[in-house]
Amino acid sequence: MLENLLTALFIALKPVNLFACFIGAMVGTLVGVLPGIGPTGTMALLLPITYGLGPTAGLIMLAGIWYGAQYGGSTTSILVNVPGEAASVITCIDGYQMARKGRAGAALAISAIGSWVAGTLGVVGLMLFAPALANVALVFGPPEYFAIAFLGLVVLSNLTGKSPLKSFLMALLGIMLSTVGLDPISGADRFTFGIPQLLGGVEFVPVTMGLFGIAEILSVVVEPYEVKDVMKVRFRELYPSRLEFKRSCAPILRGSVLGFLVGLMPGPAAVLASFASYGLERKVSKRPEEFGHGAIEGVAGPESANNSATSGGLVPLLALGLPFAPPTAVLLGGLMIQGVMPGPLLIQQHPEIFWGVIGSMYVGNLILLVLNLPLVGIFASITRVSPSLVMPAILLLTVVGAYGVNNSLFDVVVMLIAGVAGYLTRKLEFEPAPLVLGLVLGRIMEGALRRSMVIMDGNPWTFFQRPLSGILLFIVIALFLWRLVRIWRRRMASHVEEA
Amino acid sequence: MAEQDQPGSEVKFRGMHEGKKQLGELASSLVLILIGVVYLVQGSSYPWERLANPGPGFFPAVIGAIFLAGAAVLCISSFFHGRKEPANTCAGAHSQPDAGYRKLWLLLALLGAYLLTLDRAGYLINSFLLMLFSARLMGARRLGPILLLAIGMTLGTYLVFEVWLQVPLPKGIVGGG
Repeated sequence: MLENLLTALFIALKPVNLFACFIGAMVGTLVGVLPGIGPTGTMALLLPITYGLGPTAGLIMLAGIWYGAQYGGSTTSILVNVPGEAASVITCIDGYQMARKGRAGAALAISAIGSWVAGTLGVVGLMLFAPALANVALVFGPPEYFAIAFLGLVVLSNLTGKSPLKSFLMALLGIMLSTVGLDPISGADRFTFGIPQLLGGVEFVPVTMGLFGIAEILSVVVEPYEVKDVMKVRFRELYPSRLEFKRSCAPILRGSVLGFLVGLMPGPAAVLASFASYGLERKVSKRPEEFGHGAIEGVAGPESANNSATSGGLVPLLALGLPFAPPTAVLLGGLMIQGVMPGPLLIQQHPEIFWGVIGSMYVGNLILLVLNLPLVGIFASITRVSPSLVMPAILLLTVVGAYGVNNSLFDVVVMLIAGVAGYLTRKLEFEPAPLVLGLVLGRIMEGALRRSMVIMDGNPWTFFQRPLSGILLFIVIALFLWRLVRIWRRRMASHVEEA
Repeated sequence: MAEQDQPGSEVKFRGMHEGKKQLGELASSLVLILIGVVYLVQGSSYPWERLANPGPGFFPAVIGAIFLAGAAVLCISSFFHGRKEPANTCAGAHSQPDAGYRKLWLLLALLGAYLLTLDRAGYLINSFLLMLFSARLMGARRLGPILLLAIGMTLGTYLVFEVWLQVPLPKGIVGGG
């Protein structure tokens, strides 16, 4: 393991990789600070730039944006009571209250330290879990891959948005979009309606940019966010007291473990991890009455959890080649653009990519800890930039980024259509994340399903005769039945109330 | 007393808001049903082959059928069940962001014009104008920051994409880079 760690650091400290890590971490922090476009949209936006960096540096930069955003999101949560990123919503509760009591510096410091500890522990988990899971996955066949991907989409639908049915329909819509273009097995063209640009399929990058970038811009155009005053924090205030530090240790460790485990699951892992951690800390705290009024545990735990969740989220991607969250779907897209197919063989065939990402996460977390605290004033002041200047900049970046995918205006048109659709679906409370996952996983699922049917000679019951695919599909069925039971019980309860 | 402050108006506005929400739910589920029908009809034209060696029509048929069933359930649910909105949505029911929607249409028209004229006018000119007009549309007033944004972003993205990444951006009137 030590040898692997040294290899990882050696790759990460190469100048181009170090540069990519720094840029990714800084951009991620900025994205986390600014309300509006989140890490997924930014990662999709900068995907074309990874062409010039190569697969290792490109992946390092994109990953840096993802975990960097978790650091940045806490800054505005604490100083302005506005979460810059969804995973920092919960930090507003106690973080801002601490700021109101003059303890903003302590909150920021604990948030940064907790994020660093959790990020580092998460990377250790990634180093241990991913190779082990990859070895196990070498015996997976197409039925297992189909079952895992299907379960992932079903779980994601249950955990995302207010309506599981709406989220599931969005996932199916993404899968339907993935069938556009040439059939990978027979070569027949499907759903192209005579449009030659669709022969290659619907590109993932413009759709993601549209759903997460353009849709956000349109939302801000209709209802601009207010630029709020930011509390000033002096550099010498950026340290917690001895008691605050002591009270934070256990929540940081608990958040690190919880966040990593939640990150392994499909869904908005960082958000779920932060909420779960807050709930846990409140439950185990000897001073639960302090929560909501500036409890340091309410900052330490969630901010640690959302960082280690990013490491957990990388395990299924790097070990199985399956993304279970939109940011990892973008990472998958980034690798595929470079001609690298993630999966169980990635660690063997491209060790420089796997260990490079691991090493860069150690380095990136350190960069973020060292720079975030002294530069917190600068990052916070960026929130004072008016959306009337920020949004046009993001608009041009998305347009040229979409164009840069294939040098095609058609991709820009696809992005704009996805943007309008994304805006409308938000208004109607449909979540965009399942559509993105469906678009990426759909191709994997179709290939796995059709190969499975060939292996099983057309007998679909064989899915249930294989232990792993059987268990996973059984869980899918159980989830559906559980949902139906819940709906039925809710209807019975409302009938009784009316009576 | 203004109309919205009169007793009972809160209930009236909440009702209007919920009605619009329900209409939106119903309309969206009908659109999804339409998408499902079109997808299934088109998908049925591709060969299934046989289960032991599924053809290009197999997967679309399965997914399309599940999608259509789900969309139908959503439609029925929207039709029969109103939504119970929490009290604070009353604030949303009072204020209609009409000005915002006008800006949205204008922005989309601006983007359409940008795309239609990109090849002729070129990336540099079109992007500069896009920055200028979109910043004004979104409420920026001072010319200095707007010009700085427009010039900075246009040149910056040109350097990154055309020069560094070698993405050939439309030249248009300006000609060679």
